[in-house]
Amino acid sequence: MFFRSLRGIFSNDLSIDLGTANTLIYARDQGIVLNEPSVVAIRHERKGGGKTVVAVGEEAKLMLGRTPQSITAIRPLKDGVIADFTITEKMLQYFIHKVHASRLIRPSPRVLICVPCGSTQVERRAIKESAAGAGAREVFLIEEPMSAAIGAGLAVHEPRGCMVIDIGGGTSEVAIISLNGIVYSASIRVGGDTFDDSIINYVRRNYGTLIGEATAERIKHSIGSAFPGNEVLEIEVRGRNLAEGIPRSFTLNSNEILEALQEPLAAIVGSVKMALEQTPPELGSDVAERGIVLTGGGSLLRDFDRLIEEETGLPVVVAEDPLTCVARGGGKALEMLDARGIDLFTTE
Amino acid sequence: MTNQTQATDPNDQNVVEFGDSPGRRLRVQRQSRGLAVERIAAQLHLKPEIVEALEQDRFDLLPDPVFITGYLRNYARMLGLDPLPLIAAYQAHAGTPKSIEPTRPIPGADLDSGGTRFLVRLVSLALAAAVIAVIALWWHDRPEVSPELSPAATELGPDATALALDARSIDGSASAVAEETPDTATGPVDRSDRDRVAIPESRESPIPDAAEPGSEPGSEQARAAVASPTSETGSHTASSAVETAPPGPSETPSARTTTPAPSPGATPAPAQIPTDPVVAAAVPAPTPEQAQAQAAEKGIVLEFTGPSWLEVRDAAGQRIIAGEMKAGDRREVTGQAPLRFTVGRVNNSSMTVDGKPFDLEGRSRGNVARFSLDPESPE
Repeated sequence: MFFRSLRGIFSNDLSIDLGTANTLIYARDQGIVLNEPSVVAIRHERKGGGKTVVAVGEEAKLMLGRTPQSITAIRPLKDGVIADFTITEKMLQYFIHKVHASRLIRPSPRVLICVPCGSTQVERRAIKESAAGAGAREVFLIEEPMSAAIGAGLAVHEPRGCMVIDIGGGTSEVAIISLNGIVYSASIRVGGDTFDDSIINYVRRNYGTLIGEATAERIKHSIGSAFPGNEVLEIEVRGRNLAEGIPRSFTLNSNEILEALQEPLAAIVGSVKMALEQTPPELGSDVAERGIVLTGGGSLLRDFDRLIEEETGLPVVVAEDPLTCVARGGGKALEMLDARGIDLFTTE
Repeated sequence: MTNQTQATDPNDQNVVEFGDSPGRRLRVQRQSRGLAVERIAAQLHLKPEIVEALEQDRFDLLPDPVFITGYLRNYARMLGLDPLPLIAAYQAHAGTPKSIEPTRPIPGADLDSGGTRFLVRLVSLALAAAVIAVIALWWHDRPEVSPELSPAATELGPDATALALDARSIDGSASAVAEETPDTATGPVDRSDRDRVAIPESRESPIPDAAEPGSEPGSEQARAAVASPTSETGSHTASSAVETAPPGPSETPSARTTTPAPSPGATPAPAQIPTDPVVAAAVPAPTPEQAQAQAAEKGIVLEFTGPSWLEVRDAAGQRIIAGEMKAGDRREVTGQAPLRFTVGRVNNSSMTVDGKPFDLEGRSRGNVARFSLDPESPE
């Protein structure tokens, strides 16, 4: 314990957005220092020799779906929470080492981790313990919408309601925040991954062709949209034809993808409407006057703000650099870590 | 607004120059398309005032920067403008966003214990005052004990007690003893040594015998001395002395002092030895004449059947006797009343006042008795 605190002098405080799709690390006074996919590639040694980590992050993501028998590329987080404890710990350890400046002294930082507001006590403890296992001296937790609101630049300390929608890889969070606290929050297990799955299912159903997750993600990034636009975009993709068993090439357009995404989009819109229904009237009027803030990678889906705007009739704005909002917000909260009267953090 | 925009003709609204404020660019674009503010506001789901404030660059009327950037982006997209230069221009205008402040409680305004805290503080203060008062009272009423004769010392063996006694107290006690028995035959004994004073006084029967003739005039004086106090307390003491005599001549020294009067001096002493083993050591010591003389002086006698210690102070606080006692020691106490006694090892000590046994056990705590006594009013 003593050595940990001693090593802590040489370690910078970190804010980690441990996301299903991407892990971002914000170092105090340095900004975002790491943005890598939450993917770990594991090699199974022959003759029961155990497992070794082959690659983490970007490198491992390239292996996703392209691995031989001896290697497995794993996404250790699912729906915003830990699915594989040990591998998450290894991944965090790798990332913390990667952003640690000194090679001589083992890192022992204070770490602030963002957790989905819908996560259970067990899931939160798992996150806390895996961070501690990865070498963190102290672990604090903050709920993702709160962190996202701070990162977006909302004045969360004011007695004014602000509504944040954070669409992550595994979960979407909707929250009403006022006076540094969450008034209402809801978390649904719909996010960027669900969009990918919907695209995969759509293509299989309508084209009889199987595409991989990486291809689905590429389609989403290129032509995915949430609201019918003026122009129709197209993309050529290749997948395995289920009937022939041979890889075939075909073309998809943005309207098809819009159709494919209807189900998860409707789920998100439904949760937003539910949140507005549950919001106390004063805060609701604040939200109506100023608008809803969209954060998270999911809000980069074309015209997602238009969709929410049309569905709710309220102004919707997308935060600046929505992908890093949560990590940046955590970083701002980290700077207030030593301030008295902290009520931003959550307990297990 | 920048200097460049001020330089341009404000009436020429269709000219958009580089470096124009974002609001002006949006207004120019909207007017060129012939759109009303209300229509824009309806499409953006904003109030017309907000759109006007955006066009007039009145950012102070608008909410947080995140909203302003968002409004600008949405407005620009609606008009078919590239939002990025507008946002960049706005950000050049705008200052740093407000930092988030933690909601701190007002100091001293804790709702949980606000009312009760004062009460608790008051009660604890009162309790503390009460405790201090009790300690002060106890300290004040406590009989004075010389530091050498602390109760702790009494728990140790007699040797330790002896070590604790300083030379001064030994001298004092020795001199006190010497003063008490000036007319006994122990005169030639070295008075600086207390033991040597004590031992011949109590143990050696020849000495009292030898003192017998010498004590005759002393007893006369003693009787005279007794007469003077009894003139006040009356015949009560005299009669009580007489009354106590018949049932147990061996019980008290006062009884012994009365019994020799009719009988010759040396005879009662050996007779008393077997009758009272407790005071056996002390019994042979005082001859009736000597005891009579001492009792006549003041009437407070302390006898010791084992190692003990004794301190007596008079009304002025002057130490009359202080020192270690051994088995068989006997002390008569005279001094200005009220006298303050500290008797260690009560189980080895006994005391009589005017011949009446005095209850030491009842006044002892932890085998040490501390009490004040005025012999003229014994109870």
